[in-house]
Amino acid sequence: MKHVVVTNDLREADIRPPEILSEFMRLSIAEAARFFDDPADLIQSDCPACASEAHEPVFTKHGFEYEQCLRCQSVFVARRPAPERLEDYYRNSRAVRYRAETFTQATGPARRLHIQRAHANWLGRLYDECGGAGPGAYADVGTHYPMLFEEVRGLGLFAACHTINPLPGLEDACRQAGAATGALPAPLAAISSFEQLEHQFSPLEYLMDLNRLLAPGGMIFLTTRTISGFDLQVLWDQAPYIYVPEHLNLLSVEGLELLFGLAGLEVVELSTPGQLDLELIREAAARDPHVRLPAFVRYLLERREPRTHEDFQHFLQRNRLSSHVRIAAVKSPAGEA
Amino acid sequence: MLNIGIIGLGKMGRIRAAEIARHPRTQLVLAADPDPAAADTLPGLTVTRDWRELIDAELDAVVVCAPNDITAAAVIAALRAGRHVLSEKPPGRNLAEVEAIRRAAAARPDLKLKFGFNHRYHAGIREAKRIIDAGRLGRILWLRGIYGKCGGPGFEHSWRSDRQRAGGGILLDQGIHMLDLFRYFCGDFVEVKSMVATAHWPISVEDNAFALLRDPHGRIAMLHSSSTQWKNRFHLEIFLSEGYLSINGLLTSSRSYGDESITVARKQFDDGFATGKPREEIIYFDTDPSWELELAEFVDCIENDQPVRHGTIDDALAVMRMVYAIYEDDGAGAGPCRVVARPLADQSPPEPAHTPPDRATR
Repeated sequence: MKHVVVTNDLREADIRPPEILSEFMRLSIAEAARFFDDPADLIQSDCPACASEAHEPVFTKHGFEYEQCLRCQSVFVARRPAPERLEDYYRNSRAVRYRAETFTQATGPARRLHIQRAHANWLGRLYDECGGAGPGAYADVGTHYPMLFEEVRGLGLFAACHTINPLPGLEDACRQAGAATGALPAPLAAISSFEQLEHQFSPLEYLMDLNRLLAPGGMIFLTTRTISGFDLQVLWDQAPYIYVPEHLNLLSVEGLELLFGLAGLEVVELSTPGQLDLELIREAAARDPHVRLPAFVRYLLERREPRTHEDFQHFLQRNRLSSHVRIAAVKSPAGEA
Repeated sequence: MLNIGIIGLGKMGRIRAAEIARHPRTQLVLAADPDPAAADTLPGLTVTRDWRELIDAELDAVVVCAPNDITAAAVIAALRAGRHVLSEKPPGRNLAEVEAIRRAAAARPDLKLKFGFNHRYHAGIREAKRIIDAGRLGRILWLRGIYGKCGGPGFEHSWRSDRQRAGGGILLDQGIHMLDLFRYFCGDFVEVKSMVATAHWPISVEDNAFALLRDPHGRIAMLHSSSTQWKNRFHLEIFLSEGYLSINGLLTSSRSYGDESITVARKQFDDGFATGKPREEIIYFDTDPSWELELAEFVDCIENDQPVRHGTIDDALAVMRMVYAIYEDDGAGAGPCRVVARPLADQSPPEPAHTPPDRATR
């Protein structure tokens, strides 16, 4: 298996402007309290990565208890909102509306330049190498940034582009960018799912559903946040950007490998090309004086130069220790879900 | 099951032997090596001292991993005996030997002959080839390759440093891989400028070769091949009209060439990026599949009567012509290397460079 390190002049503020992010987080937490206030709607879950029943509580955030799997070290919300409650939230909450109307609009150009184009190039390169479903159709699931489709169409790889469950309100923008919104032509050659896995009720069922949509030799391209990442390991429960329902599943690198295998998918790349771990820790500490950092991390951030931070971030990427993870997988011959 | 014999149980021979043992449709039944101790490296295997005895044995294929002064004779003898042949590079000491192999191969078109230009099968090279062939980075503009090793203790006494036995120095021994890769990506080259030197080692062959090559489309490739690269290095840059690839390191058994990676980037002139500092993706590889893939292709060609795809006799001859064009442009091809090596302990200032008369008029 290969893995990837990325160098880029990406800054957190370019893709997540602080004021807009703060408002989105405020709305998400408030809406979570409103949508998921009935304990009867919460369902107990075992490890969503490896299905292990051995897990123990590690911290509580906004009233939700996170537990850690003793087998694969994934961290997850053990009592989580039922699927229908999550669906209601993602259709009707003010947080989701704010994301589509404000967040996406404000960060679209920077994300296209720094992220969507890179996603498309990644997808093209890996599909050239491993894709075995020919020039069929491509679909993005849970589209947040419609400009992705213009970048993917530019590859000239796929006969058609589709969006599945885009953010409410982005359907027209998806169509304008060249993605169909109607019925899917089954099966698909490739599917992308960017930053969706972390808020699925069942990541395994989610991946198996995607697998069923794929043609033999088809590929899945997925990004998510991993608890194996340096910023989350350092900040742990102090990470301000971890909240329900966006982050029900913080799967470890090891857990993700197990999960893909259970879903009948052969992983061809698993990388953590995140560039922001140190910056996220610095921002968290700067905004909240109560955040406690290990002495080494504080020393690194306060006393060492940007070049050292850059090298350190490269080390994290190189060793799959950044919290932004990307995975490319092929529907394996015996992988019918 | 293919019965295979192997000539030479040095480092390369042992690598090949291990792959033959791993492959499900090959078995190593005999080996030849003049060193009596060679038999100890592969317990249970019959090892003869004379490679000619191996040729006469009942074999389907012969793998030649012998010093260069044996290669051509062994390949030709094996072909004449009706054996398929996988031979290490270089394919011979000089063009005449490779031409002789070609004649022998032409007389037995029913047999497969493949030369071990295994770098084509390295993960980084395969990735580069896929990316270039996909066309999204545009057309190749130029290539720059550095391939160097440090020589090491006793290097001056190795057969590789003896012109009579090796035919040439580091260029023929190792630089030939980089030249083969230049051909892999661009095809044949038609023009060569070079300088070849024996800069350090007291040996009768070159320890450094610098060359510029141009193909019919005007694309230029630059090579530095060295055995005074005190830290082993493999580095191949390929710049295209819309981006670039840079292959660094090479996974080997000793890991002395570092981790193998390929950097991929697109030309980036957009606002929001510093000019000349594009976003790069560096892909790292965990394994070296080159030996396995090379043997698999050889076996597939034999079992399914397919033409050899990489490392054909034509590839071998073409790359040998490049090697000898580099020697000849410098004037070093016909005889002993012209730059005389100083003894290792000699700290005196260097002699003024000797310029051969024919070079002064170029």
